[in-house]
Amino acid sequence: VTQRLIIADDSADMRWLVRSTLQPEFRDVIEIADGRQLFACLLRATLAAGPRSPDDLVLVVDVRMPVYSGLEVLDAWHDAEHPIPIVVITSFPDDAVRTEVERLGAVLLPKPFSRATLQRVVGDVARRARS
Amino acid sequence: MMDWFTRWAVWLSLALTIALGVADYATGLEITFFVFTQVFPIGLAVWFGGRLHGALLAALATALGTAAYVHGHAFGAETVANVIGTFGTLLIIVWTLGLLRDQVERERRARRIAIEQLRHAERLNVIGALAAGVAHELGTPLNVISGTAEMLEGDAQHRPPLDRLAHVILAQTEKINAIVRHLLDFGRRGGASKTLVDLNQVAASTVELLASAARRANVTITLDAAIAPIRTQANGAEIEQVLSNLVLNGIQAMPRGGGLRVTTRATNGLACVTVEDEGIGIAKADLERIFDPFFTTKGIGQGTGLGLSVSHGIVADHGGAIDVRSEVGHGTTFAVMLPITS
Repeated sequence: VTQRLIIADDSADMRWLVRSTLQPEFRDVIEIADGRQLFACLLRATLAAGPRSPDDLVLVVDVRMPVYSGLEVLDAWHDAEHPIPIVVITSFPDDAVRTEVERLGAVLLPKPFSRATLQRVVGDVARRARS
Repeated sequence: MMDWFTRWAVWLSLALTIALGVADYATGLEITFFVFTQVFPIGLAVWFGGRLHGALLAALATALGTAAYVHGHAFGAETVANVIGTFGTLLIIVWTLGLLRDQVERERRARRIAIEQLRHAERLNVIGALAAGVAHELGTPLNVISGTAEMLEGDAQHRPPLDRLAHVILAQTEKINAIVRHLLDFGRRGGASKTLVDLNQVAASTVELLASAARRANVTITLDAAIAPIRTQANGAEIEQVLSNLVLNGIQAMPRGGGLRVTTRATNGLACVTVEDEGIGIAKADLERIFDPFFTTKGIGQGTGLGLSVSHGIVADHGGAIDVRSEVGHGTTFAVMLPITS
């Protein structure tokens, strides 16, 4: 277990649910409540990783968050050369969200999802990033 | 009992007949003939605006007028020319008016259809916004509840304590309840009982209610009430809800504190309550959307985006209107106008 999980969602209970479902599969779980924090967190992780980009991160990101939306932050950090494994969770997956998620090379997981689905989808994304 | 129109028409015709008779007698000219064969038919044609029965009535009037003339005079070539000329004029007038009427009717219909389409689009827009808002707001708590229930279902060894899980479910259902209550508020129109209330009192109790919230936010509220009571037929609680909403918005628009002024005035049969802040203001692009349901510029959890749309509905229910003026960086003024009950 070497990867770290970042959960960005403005609902504390949602973060708790994701954390309690995925914790065993990650070295560390970081909870984030809004877009600005997510941005700062990604910035810190990048600086800490030095010249290479951080390759041990897996993101579970909500779309609707205060300050910046999840998609806005992901767009700002998008790097086609070194894609970060991302699962975007949202309760309103309209066409605009789908297109944007696809463009960012992320995976869309509409709410409500079962814990088993969450485990499977995040597990797939994390495994693909490792290999 | 005749209606006023018929009564006046009868008196006017009588007066006209006498006047024409006197005029004919006094001048020796054939004014009556002229009026009945030229003026009257044209007037009728214009009055009925190019409809078929307008033309028929005009033709009848011409025929009658001409018959009266022929009865008293020799049937000459001049009369024939006169009658043909009158009919020609009439036909041209009726024809032109008919064309114009068609044109107007077509444009009116096109406009009605366009407005209907706009209304429909607007309705769909509102419904779409409502659906998206509901999905956004309810999706997360529902997901948390189902996830928690899955934990309850799972292995007892590896799950959080039951009271923790129960607490999560309760908190989420309360959140859903609050959203549903807001939605019901939004959907409610009318029905609330109205009594004679004094807007000065409503404004005063709103200011009193929110004084401590304002102090915490470093905001000073001043109430500038009209001297005489402003009585209006209203639901006091609803109007208070509207005013608190505006005052709270004003407070939230001043993150570094400032002054907020609530003014009540009565002018020209209109009661007006203004709420004026020195806050950040509303961007021009946002101004036209602030009354839309679920439109919010506040962070999630701070505003449902329903406050102003609910307020708008309440004031409209009372036969009033809300007006807003805003300058970015200088502040916003909301004015609630309600009809005064004398």
